[in-house]
Amino acid sequence: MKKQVSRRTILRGAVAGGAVGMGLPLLDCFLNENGTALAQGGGPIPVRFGTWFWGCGMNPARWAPPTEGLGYELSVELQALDRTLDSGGKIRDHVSVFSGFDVKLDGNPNYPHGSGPASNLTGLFAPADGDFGAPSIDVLIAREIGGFTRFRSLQLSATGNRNHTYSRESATIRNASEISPMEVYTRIFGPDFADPAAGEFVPNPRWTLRQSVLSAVKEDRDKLMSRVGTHDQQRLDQYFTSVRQLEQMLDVLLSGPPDLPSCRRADDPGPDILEGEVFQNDLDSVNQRHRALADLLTFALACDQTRVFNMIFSSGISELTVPGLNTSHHQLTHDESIDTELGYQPKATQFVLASMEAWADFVERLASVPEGDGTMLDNCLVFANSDLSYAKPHDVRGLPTMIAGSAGGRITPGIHIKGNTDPVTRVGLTVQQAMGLPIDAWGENSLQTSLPVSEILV
Amino acid sequence: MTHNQRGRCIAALLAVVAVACAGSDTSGGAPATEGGPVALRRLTSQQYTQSIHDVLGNDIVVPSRIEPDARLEGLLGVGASFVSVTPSGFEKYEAAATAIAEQALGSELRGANLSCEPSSASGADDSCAREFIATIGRRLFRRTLAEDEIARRVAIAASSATELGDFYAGLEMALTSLLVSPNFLFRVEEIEPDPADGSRLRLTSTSVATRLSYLIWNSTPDDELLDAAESGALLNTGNLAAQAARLLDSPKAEAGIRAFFSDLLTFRRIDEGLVRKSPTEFPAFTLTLAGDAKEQTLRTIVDHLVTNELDLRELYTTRSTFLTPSLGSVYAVPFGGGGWGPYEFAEDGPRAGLLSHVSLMSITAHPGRSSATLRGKFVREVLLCQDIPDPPANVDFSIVENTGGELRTARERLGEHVTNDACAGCHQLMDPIGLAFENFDAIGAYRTQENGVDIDASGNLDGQSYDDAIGMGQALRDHESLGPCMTRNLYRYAVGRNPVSGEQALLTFLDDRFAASGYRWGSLIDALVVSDGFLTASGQREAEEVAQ
Amino acid sequence: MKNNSLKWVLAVAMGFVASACGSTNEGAGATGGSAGTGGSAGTGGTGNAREALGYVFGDFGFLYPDMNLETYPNMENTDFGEEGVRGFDLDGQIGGGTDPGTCLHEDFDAPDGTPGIDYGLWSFLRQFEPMRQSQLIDSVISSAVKNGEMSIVMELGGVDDMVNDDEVTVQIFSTQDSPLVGTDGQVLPNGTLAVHPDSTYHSTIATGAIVNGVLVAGPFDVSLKFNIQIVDADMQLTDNWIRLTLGNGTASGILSGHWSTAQIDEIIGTPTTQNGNAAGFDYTEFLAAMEAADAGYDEESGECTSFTTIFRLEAVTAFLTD
Repeated sequence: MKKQVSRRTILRGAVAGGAVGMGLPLLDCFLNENGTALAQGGGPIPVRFGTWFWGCGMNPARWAPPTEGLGYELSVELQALDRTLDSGGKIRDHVSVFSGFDVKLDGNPNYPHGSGPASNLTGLFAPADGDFGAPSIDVLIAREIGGFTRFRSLQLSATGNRNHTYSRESATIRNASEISPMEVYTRIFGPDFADPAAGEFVPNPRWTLRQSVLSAVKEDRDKLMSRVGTHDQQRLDQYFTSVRQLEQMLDVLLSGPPDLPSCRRADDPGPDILEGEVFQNDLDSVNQRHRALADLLTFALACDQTRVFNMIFSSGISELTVPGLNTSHHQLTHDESIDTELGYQPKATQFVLASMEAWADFVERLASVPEGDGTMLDNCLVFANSDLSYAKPHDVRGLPTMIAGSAGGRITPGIHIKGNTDPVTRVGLTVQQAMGLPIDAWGENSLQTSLPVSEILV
Repeated sequence: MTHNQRGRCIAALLAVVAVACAGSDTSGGAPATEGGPVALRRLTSQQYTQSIHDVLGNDIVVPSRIEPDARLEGLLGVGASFVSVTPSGFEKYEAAATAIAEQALGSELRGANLSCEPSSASGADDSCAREFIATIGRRLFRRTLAEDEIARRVAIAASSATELGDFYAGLEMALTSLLVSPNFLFRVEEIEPDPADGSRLRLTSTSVATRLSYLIWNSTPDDELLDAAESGALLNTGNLAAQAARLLDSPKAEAGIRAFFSDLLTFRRIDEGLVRKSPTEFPAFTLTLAGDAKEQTLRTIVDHLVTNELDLRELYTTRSTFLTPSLGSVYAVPFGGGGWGPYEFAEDGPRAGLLSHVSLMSITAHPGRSSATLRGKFVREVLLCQDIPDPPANVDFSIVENTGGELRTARERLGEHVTNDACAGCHQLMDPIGLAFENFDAIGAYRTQENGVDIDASGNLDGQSYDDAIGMGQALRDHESLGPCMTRNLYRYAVGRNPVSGEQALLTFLDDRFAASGYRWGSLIDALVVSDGFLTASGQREAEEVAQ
Repeated sequence: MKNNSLKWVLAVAMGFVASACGSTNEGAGATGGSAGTGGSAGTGGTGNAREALGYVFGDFGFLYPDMNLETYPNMENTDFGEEGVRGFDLDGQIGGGTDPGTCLHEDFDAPDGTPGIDYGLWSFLRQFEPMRQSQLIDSVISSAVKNGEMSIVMELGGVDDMVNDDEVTVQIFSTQDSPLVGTDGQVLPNGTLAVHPDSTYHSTIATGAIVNGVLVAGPFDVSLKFNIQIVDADMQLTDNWIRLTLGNGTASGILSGHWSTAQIDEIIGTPTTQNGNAAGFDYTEFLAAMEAADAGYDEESGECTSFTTIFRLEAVTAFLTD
């Protein structure tokens, strides 16, 4: 975060997000746990929140770790967490695993690949196939902490499809994903990026002029409000919020480059894989895009361009494939017979393992950036989740979730907790509390809970 | 195409018609109808691009990736009435607007877009700015701007020009503010009491003009249409029909019909590179082929419905089409030369109708193999307007899809669907139809066997039997729901929502007119745009009406 | 060969009888050629279809012991060994003699043990050190075949039965068209290509027969148009024989014939040495290597003026037009 948090900025953040309670609890987000400033370098290190999604779940018997608590034993399908980090310890030590936490349905339809994410990310039953009942958890958190950065949040997908997203502004409004490393680079590190290494900062006069353009537009919108029905008024509200977001971005740009020691401009990733061609779904191509996007993300976080992000490795209808296979991960989970000797679907399972390796790649990338006394990972809370547990019958019981990072010291990492059929919203509640949201209970009906997973909260 | 003549005298072709032979009698038999609710309709990315081109010049390079469109009820045209603008979407719109403004007022295009010259190129000039803003603003907002709307932009132009020391750069900021305004990004459909009957609400004339031009041109109204609207003359029925005829006669109408069918047939998936095939199984499915395949189907449709004004139902039996060498190789027919050319599938060959095209066969198949279920679902939902419920969550597909096992053809494997009670209800509707197309593999290439076993493509569509895809196309052509479904789809596309119950009688009437005309596309449009459903409304959409 | 392919072929043949006689050349096109499967041809496209089974080459290049060209950094220890050489005994002799009027050369054994297979160029490819880099040349030729720089098409005429037919003809042609290439980088079947308008690039017609699915035909001469990078020339191969295994829509095998040293000079020797010595050899070394020529004894000069050579080829079905 910048050295000066201007009062104007704070108030704007409040109005845009709708959050009313400002002041100390929120400021805690970017002070250390003693409430004093601040980490090395003079500026406070912000805490970031992100989600990481992989599609088609896992094999429950092989994924859930055999032991509980700190230093849990790694299961077959979590061997990817066995990597040793340069900064010390294994990935496992930085990742908490939650097994056996259910998405409850209460007799409502189980929309394949839909009900899982909807309930896990909103605490509500999916009202219709493909719909969420409320804004998603990343949006709730972004409303709290997204008001201070150039971008309120970033949505990224390695799948090559912009429509793949689990981030919802409202029940039906989806935040599309960026799929092209080149475009992400241009958007974040293009001409508007205030490079701390670039010497004396001179604000671009166009930024102020662009703000004046936006005020004119807001007046247009105000006039329209009185002429449309209530549904359109909601849509115009969303439009207004989006305009405000851009104004805030220009404010941030006008206040100069971030004062963070680990900030520097990212390297140009070059043209996208198969430029001009379709984004292929074979594991190599997806991994390549995933790494490129993760790379850009860490640079963006280091420069405090955003504090909320969503990364999709594969979507619920996972299209992952490998050369020579004429089908996809998702199709295999339904088509492939269970091998009687092995006890699982071998071809489909290769993609579970590949997804966990990609998750390890992502965590490792965050851990490779030094920040303060530790690494960027220490100042993050990454909520990994999938749409299903066992994909073949679209099972949403025991929905797999994990948390990586220490959220700036607010959570203890590296613990395996068994849910024993508790609702998965307990994890979502814990996440929101760790990020400083003033929330005591979350979810409705059987998904309602007021009991966070306190074992991981500091 | 002589649309005016058609509009005036279809009687020459038909025996008994309700269509007036002298002028268009709008209500000729149409049931009194109150249209459904209106709502803001966000421009689709195609409409955005087309509108920019029509207003600011075809040479403008419009960024393609803005905010993705949403498909609702099977149409992007309906989704547009429900979406808003997300933060990252707005960021992209603003960036696009800046890029477009820079080109539009750049040295090359400035002469075409600006009819005045500033007193000094390095500073403000309110009167020239005003002229530009009023003229271009009217075309962008699709109505005359209010004074405060103009004044605001003139002020922006002035302060920017002064700050930047450049009149044109200043004007670019004003143009940007027009381009990111909700009045441009959304089509505003306004309503007013009907002067003829105060208890009814009708769309204002500029709203009707906008509906008309986006339906027929997929783009913004031109000056002539706006003039007719703002002079109050448009809603006089004779004028409305005449304007519709004029729009249909224009070369811009081809873009409109292409947009409708692209939307209905989900061709957007090809545009976004989402139809992918396994390179080991189907190396022929290159990007070029995918683009050509889409183009083949659209050309066929335009040729059939517009150029030759033929019966729409015969789209499913026609052998006339257009090919490129790339398509020729997938169809395994000789087709040389460098580019597009007309082609007639063999009279006794296996292909006829749109459903035998590479485009639709590829879209309704998996990356590695065909899908009778997807194809059957497509026919039922898109072409016959019959809803298929979603599958139950805990279904076990493994028997059905195990291609390496004993059951070697899709027909054998899908047999499990219909012997299992839990599956039969829905699958009986879909699979038999899709199996008719099993001779066309996952990219539409012809085959006679699957895994060494001859393919049996026979079946029955709601009572009409067929032996193969040709017969299936004929059964589809003769199906009683084909015409009404097309009517319904065009109606939904035109008004941007599903019909409300009060509009059912009107839909029946429109379909009767369509049938009476011999399913001529122009007749359907003619009847639609003068109907109450198109011109009236029940009010603005309220939040409670939107199901949660 | 499978039954359905036979039916396909017969259908094609019928199609010709039915449609070729009544070609409707109105407006845009002729009656098409083979309809692929079932029924007669549609109408459309440009060019007049040719009667006969058409193929386009998807791969073409020198014959190597192991077709995995990527494992050839050093060809010094490469040889055909026990697998033998798929080729022909072009000169009817086993081994070469030392008498004047003969060309000394090394013969090979066929895979079935038959001796006398001629492949004189192999010594040049294998021993001439710079040619060990020939994986480069080979991939250049192979891409040239796919991208139009040296595309080749072939017709099999008079084929009544793809498995056994005692009277068939073979003719190969250059084409100016580029074959369609798929997402796997290979040439796609069923494309349409026109034979080269200049009949210089039409080979003489070879007669032959098919036995158990293997076609052998010859002799024939051919000039192939060759326009690769800096070389714009004709590749002339004389007294060629061809052996192809016919599959379902494919034909693969070898083409063996005589390539004159003058030609090799024109296509490889001179251009590479004249351009900054890109080949890594000098002209004198090249000429010395040419002395290993094993055929084409010229009585006047007393020199052997050509090499016997073997090319491998893979082809897929195509529609050919004039």
